[in-house]
Amino acid sequence: MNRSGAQALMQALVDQGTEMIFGYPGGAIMPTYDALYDVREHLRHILVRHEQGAVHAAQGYARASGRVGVCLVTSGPGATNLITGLSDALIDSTPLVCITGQVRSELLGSDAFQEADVIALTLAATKWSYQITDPTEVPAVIEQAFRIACSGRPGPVLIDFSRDAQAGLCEDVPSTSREGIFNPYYQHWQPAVQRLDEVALAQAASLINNAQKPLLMVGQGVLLARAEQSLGTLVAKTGIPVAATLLGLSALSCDHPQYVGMLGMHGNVGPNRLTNEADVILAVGMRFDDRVTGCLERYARQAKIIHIDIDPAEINRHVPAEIGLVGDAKAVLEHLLPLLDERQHDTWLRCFQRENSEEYREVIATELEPGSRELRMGEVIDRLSVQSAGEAIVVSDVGQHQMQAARYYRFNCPRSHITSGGAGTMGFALPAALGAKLAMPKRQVIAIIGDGGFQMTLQELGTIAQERVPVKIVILNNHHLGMVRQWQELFFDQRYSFVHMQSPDFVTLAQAYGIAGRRVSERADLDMALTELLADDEPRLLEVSVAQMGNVFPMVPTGAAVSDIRLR
Amino acid sequence: MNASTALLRIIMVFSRRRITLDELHWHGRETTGQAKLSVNVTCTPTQAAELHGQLGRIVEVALVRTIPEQAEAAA
Repeated sequence: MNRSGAQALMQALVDQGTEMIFGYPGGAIMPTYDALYDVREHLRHILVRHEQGAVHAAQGYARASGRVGVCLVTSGPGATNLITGLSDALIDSTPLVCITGQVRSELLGSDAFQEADVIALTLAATKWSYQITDPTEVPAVIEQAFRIACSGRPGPVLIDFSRDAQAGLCEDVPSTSREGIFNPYYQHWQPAVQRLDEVALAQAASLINNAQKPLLMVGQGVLLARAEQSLGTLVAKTGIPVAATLLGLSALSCDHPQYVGMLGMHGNVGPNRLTNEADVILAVGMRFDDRVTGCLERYARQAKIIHIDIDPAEINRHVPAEIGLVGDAKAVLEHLLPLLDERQHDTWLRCFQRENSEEYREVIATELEPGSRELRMGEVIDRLSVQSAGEAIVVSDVGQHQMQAARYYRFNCPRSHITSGGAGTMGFALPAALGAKLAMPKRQVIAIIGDGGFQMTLQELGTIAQERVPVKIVILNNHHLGMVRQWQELFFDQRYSFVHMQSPDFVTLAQAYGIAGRRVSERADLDMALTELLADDEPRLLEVSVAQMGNVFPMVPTGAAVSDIRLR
Repeated sequence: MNASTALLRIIMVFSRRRITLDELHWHGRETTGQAKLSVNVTCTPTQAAELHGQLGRIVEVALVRTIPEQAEAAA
């Protein structure tokens, strides 16, 4: 029996377990949308308002669920609108399969209407890409796309689908057919479980067992590998203090007695300062990004570093590793665990507590209980954390509020923190929160966004309203591009160049979309407003007016060592 | 035929880092669907290690060789 390439695509997506697609139709993808119409009971399509919203929503879906996010858009500008999100997903290791329509194959290179060389344009933003011009290629290509997206270090894959291939007929063959056309070199992307180097494992264990001041750094790799339980067991057995990167937050509960805080530019004082005193650092699923390391010449020079990562290209890339262990975090930790001794590091842990006490006195106390009338971001996040018991999925945008959300929300469940880390894409949070809530309908999802970032993708309020997705949106409005303003204050002599922003009435805007909204500017009204926000199963927006000139501290200035973290 | 964009991705590993290719040579295929590529560049040992890692994400890197006379000339 014959079917069209578009029908073959629908079948292949269903065979891969796809349940949701985020998309926006257009001319070059119409045959596929026609095929989608026949399977709309099996594949839920979420119509976004901009293709960038589609890719960010797919990211939120993938990050919350651990599944591959899928989006479907048309050719030309529809496809190029994905580039920011693809780039974001690549650097943050998010598995996506993005399907773009393309003009008929005989028109390729003719500058046809809405033709763009999408493969070329997205080469640097994708883990893999392929252009389908023959409908018979569909099953094998889609199977390969999903495998590449979620194997090894996950990442985004783009499939460009010519219109004639969508409409052309092919034989109805099982999606598991591997016949055809693939170059085998991608076969060597690391599988989830590898044969580990037993000698290196033993050496790593010996280092850890003999360490006097060990520090465990956890990154997103722990969450991607679903290694939270293995991590917890190792932490309990070894007594090692644990710090998290921005994307590693929630791998361990913030209330765990051995959790000492967040690493990096706006992280906590203890883990930043004491990185440069640790004798052994066990780094799991993190890549020593420059936001975490500060000045590399003065980063952990005294420590022996055991670096566990699934991507061999990251081992010894920025920081020299005494021992590199390439593999899935869960597999490596489980192989390491039996080799480790039961220990306590109470004295060393108290060093972190002392540093963090200083941070509390100098920074946190003022943020949580400011003397001024103006609300502070930290206190809003803190109240939100209390009211949601630290169990919500927090999706933050980019800027000061992002750092404060990371610092002040007490994460208690894994996979609870979704943000744009490596790319720092403003506008990420609203569509990503939509995707996260659709992926995890039983969990509270709270989007924490600044007034600047909100205006980059606010059109997705339309998607939220149409689909009645009960995302809770908190806009922390300081009427500025706050992080840029802070840097201008600290490093550019208070020359505030184009950072003050006039915004619309966000509450009225939300109401225009059919979403309930409320504004708060007084401390006395905050708790009740948050209670109202979280109480029901409807989308809601809460705009909170916060101090316009507030700064995020502590801070590791650019070029400084992490141990030179500033409290003010 | 570079159906899977491998060659373009390989070139980008160098171009992104502003490393000029001195030589690039495709060898004849011994196995259908596979090809061998040789690349000569002038770079530091640190860059070479980084390039090895990045190329390893795309293809199997079979051999990295330092050409002494070229290394001396570069130094």
